Amino acid sequence: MATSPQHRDGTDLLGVAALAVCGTAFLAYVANTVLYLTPPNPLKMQLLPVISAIQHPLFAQNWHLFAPNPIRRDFVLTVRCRVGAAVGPWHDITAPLVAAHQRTRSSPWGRLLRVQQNAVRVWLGRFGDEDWRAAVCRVRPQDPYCRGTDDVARRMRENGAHVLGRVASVACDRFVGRGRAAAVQVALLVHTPPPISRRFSPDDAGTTAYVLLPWMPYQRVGG
Amino acid sequence: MRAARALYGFLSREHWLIGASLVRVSLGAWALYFYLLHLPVRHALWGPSGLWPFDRFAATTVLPSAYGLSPSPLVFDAVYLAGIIVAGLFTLGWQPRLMSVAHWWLVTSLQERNFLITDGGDNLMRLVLLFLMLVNTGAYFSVGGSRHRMSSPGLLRPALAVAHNTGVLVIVVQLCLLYLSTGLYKTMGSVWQNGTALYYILRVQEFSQPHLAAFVYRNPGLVVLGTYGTVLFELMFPALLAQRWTRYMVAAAGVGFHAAIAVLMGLVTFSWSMLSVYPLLFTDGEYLAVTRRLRERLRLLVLFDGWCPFCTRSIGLLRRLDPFSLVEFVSFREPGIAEWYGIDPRKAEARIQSMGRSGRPAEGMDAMIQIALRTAVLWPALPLLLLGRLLFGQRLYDALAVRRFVLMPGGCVAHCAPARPRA
Repeated sequence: MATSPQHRDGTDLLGVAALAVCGTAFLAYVANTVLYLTPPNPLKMQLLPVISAIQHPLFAQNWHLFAPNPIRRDFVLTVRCRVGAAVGPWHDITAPLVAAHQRTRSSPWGRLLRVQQNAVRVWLGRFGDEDWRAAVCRVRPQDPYCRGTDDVARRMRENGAHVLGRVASVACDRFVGRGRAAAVQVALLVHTPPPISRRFSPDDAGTTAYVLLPWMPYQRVGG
Repeated sequence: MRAARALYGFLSREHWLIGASLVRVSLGAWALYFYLLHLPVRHALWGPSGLWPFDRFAATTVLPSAYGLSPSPLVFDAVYLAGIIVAGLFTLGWQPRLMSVAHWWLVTSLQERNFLITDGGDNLMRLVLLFLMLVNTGAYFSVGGSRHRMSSPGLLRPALAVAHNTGVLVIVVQLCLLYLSTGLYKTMGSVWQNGTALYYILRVQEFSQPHLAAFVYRNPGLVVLGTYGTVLFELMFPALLAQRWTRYMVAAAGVGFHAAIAVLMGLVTFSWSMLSVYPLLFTDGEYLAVTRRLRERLRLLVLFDGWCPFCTRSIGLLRRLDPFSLVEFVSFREPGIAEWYGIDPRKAEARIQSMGRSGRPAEGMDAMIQIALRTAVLWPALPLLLLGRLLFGQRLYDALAVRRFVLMPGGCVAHCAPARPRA
């Protein structure tokens, strides 16, 4: 099909305009993303409001992926339920999920386990931008942001505790019957596996610390 | 000026069309798998009264989410179902641009609904789906693929091509930035520096696999190799894309790396979404060259009985099931065909004949197995065919073939009656 010169000119004009727009957007996005992804540095600190405004929320990204130091602890949740005045025994609610997740490499249990583990991380205040926290702590150790006592950290902790309460409530539905528990309690066992020098030791070697959360009201989850 | 014109000439034609279509299929299949895998636990993970309840989600969400439309469980289920349907249509390549937008929104909505369960793979998928809106993902492996290759209106074609190429480039750059960023952060971590990071990761139950992981973490050589290998791979990935052969090497290394993450650490969907971007690392020319070579190797000639209506109907069906046209069907009843291929017409009358690249003929059940091997849809039937061949030899095939009805068109010159197979 023959193309008239005017038609070709119009086509090229649109193409060149698209190239100018796309090229500019491409370069701006790449430059901003490079800055956004670099570890805290003076230039990033100076431009942070602009960088964040461009990147959030549409292009938000975090590629730490087990860096700078990977997760090195297991969080094991144990739960007990109170029905009336009677307090039930402790139940490990993490081990069955871990076993199911390890048995089948791709199963829905993987993400259910992740809810537990990440709720603990949120409750511990370890879910935000740890690079900035470390940078602030180096120069202002008394800063509320460094100490994790700022508003955002407080809100996160409260959210973490709320989800842990719901996770425990679901477990209590199973242990004592749906809706029967009046209150739930979570004990968090933090297990640190043995160091590499003791690599032949079994999984339960290493050290375990525990944190007892206060009793929380039962919450109806699902349905 | 000449360079600018050459750049415009290059960018105003669509490239990486096959890779873009493969990304669409892979990310669509990923989403379908993800939706269906979590169907039984959807209410707990994302439901209005699930583990992250609607009121808290509504108070914290930053992007408009389809799951934020209503706290009703019915609306939730309807949106979840819409997600499955759109993922299916996106995978099939139906209205690819429209489905790109809908699929991105529904996947992002689901991720926004519960921030506690997302990972790096989900993050990458959400970005890639966003950029795919610019890309022509429907040119191949899609409903009406050839239409999508030709359908851009003339006036808009160069502009759309520029947008397509920019979309592809930004996805590849995004992948490079991902690897560079995580590699850079890893170099700052003490256990990545002293070569023990892999040990500590594999000892965490959430990212472990009892037998395989123990084999790796008890072996210091594998631990150090895996730790330093990871950092090196991530830091060198972008630079190694520059040259063709190093690009092949780094892509192969990436496939191995992510397969190991899926199996050892149980991060299957993470690895899947990372690898979904890899098809964009290869050009259309490279895909076509590989396909050509493969087709030459796999091509099969099948001589069948064109006078047998049942055979002709079956061949028609087999042709439809073979999208890559690897099998060429020819009726040996056509004049001169048997002579041309040096096939004994009596043998061809008794049993279907096939000839591969080596020229060695196969017949009956063996020919059926050769056809099934080249037709992906028939792979589930392969064990049955092999078992039948093993247990009954050619008897099963012969019993059916000898009873077939043969319709002779016009006068019969030669090879008219179906021959009895030799015992």
